[in-house]
Amino acid sequence: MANSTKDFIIEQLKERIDKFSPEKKEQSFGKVIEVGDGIAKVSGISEAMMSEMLEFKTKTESVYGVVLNLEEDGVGAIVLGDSSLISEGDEVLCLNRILEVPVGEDLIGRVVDPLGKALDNQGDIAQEKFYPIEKIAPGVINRESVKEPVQTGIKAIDAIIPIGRGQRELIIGDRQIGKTAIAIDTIINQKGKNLKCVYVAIGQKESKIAGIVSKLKESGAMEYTTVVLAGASDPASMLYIAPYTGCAIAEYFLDKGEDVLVIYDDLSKHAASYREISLLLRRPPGREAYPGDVFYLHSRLLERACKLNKDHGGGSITALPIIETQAGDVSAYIPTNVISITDGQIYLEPDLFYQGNRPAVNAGLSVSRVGSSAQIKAMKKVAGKMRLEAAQYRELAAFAQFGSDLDEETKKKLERGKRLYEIFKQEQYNPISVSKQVLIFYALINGFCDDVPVDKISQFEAGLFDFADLDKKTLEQIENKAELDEEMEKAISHLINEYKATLDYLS
Amino acid sequence: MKITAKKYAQALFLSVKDKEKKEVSEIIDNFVKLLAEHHQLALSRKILYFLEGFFQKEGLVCPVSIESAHRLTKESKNEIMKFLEKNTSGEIEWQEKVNSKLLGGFVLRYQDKIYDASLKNRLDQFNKEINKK
Repeated sequence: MANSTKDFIIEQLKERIDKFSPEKKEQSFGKVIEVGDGIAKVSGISEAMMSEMLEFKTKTESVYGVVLNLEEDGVGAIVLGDSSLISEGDEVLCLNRILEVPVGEDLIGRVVDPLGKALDNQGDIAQEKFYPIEKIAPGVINRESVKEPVQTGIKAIDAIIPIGRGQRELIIGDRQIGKTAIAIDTIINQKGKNLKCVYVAIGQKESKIAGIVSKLKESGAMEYTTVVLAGASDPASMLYIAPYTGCAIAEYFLDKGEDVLVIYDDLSKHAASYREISLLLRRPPGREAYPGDVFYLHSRLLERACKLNKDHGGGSITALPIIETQAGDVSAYIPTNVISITDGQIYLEPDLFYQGNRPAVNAGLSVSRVGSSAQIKAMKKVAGKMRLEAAQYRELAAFAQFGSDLDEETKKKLERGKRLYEIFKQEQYNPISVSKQVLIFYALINGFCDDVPVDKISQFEAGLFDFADLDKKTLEQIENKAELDEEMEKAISHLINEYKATLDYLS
Repeated sequence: MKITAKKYAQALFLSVKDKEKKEVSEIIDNFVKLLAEHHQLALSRKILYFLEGFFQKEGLVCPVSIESAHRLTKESKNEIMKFLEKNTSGEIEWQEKVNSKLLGGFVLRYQDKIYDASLKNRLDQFNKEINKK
């Protein structure tokens, strides 16, 4: 047995040695003339291409870089690694290839840096394939319209701002308002839903990411998730390439016809890192000191999110970029850019947050341009009416502040609106299945909640879910049946009435 | 207005081009004095780099450096020379160096091209290939 293993290894080695043919080729080379702040100016290499990889031969080891500026007498490059090892006069080689990162199945469940190196002490990652970090987005012919839902498990989002597979939905709001929480809840809710997830952390505190990873592990979400981490202490070049790496990892699964969700947390820090690089490369600053191509920076990234048609595998990349605003200013440069690129936004409002409405989704300013085509039919039926209820409540609530003489109809609407906003409240790390969402929304729009006191709504809701869990038949029917037909409605009404009969706090 | 290293180099190149050796050394003396007067001696490295560039651009010189594990034989030197004459223009500035770390073969650098035919490079490539998963 031992002998045959030995022979096998020897055979394998022989085979590899036979196959090996060393490359003898001419390469362009140059010399470092300036280095500092993660940027290097290199002379020579007259044939360098844009985004080409460079190898800096330092005294101790090789450091890699990427060409970002082609100038008259040389090139400007970003250094992906320790730039302090590079000194003036060091030799630089052109590697004749665009920056590539390793991709593959082995990346699932791992935490990697933007170059695909493991950061989680779980050993090396097998490098199955390499994908370029920059790639032209799929064209019109290869795509089809977004029609399948991504269930976030967050009631306010799934009902009012539905997200479809292949959509780009921006999550925007001030710091500490629950933007990442929405993204993480969405990842947690994808268990068993056939959707791979890539979470790209750009310029985040590593302690925060450690917390997120442990939470994902706890809920079993790391089984289908890859985390790409460019921490706050990493050089700007790493922050700059991180989202493109995340997208390249997602494209590997896309090419296999799978659905992927990518979260870019967050693109304001990405833009800031690009500004840093651009200013160091002496590109002229524009508005807010960002370079002129900062729009292209994000548009070329987000355009790679897509839903491909059957002939091209039928896979999809859904992108959830996150933008952090300063004091709620959505009209700053980067927020307006990304708002205009994406297919809608989820706006988180500080006032709502401090009133205790969490997630603090502002139903008025948040939109999804894909609309109800990304909802299951049952949800479409209840959510259509609910959007109207929410809009009417907001209008009436503002109006009702001026006078107390209100007619019965208005009072009724106000009461229902209060209950609706109460239902929208949801705890973190507690995603709710779509069938349960349909159940509670059905109860609301059909007046089953009208006699429940507002402060008891959350209790009522939790009880209803537990009650429905006792006999899963109705929930399964909602999820599997395409339509919310009469028979189905009867079953739901019966279930709710049965549950209400058990309650003692109803008048 | 600040005078850049490139402008200094361009001025020097234009003034020494087509001049006799004797004149050139005088020009360079004056140039260094000028740099010192303007406290710009720190720029000398960059000026040299640009100056080399101007000479190469005009096709006047072609710097060549060759590193080999052992002293090159006359035959191999001639072969390399033939290759260079075919692929380059201008006066070849030949620099030779023996570097035992290359183990075998040679590394040829000319203009901004490098041709690594050393044994060390091959072994490095082999090492990478064999350690691939």
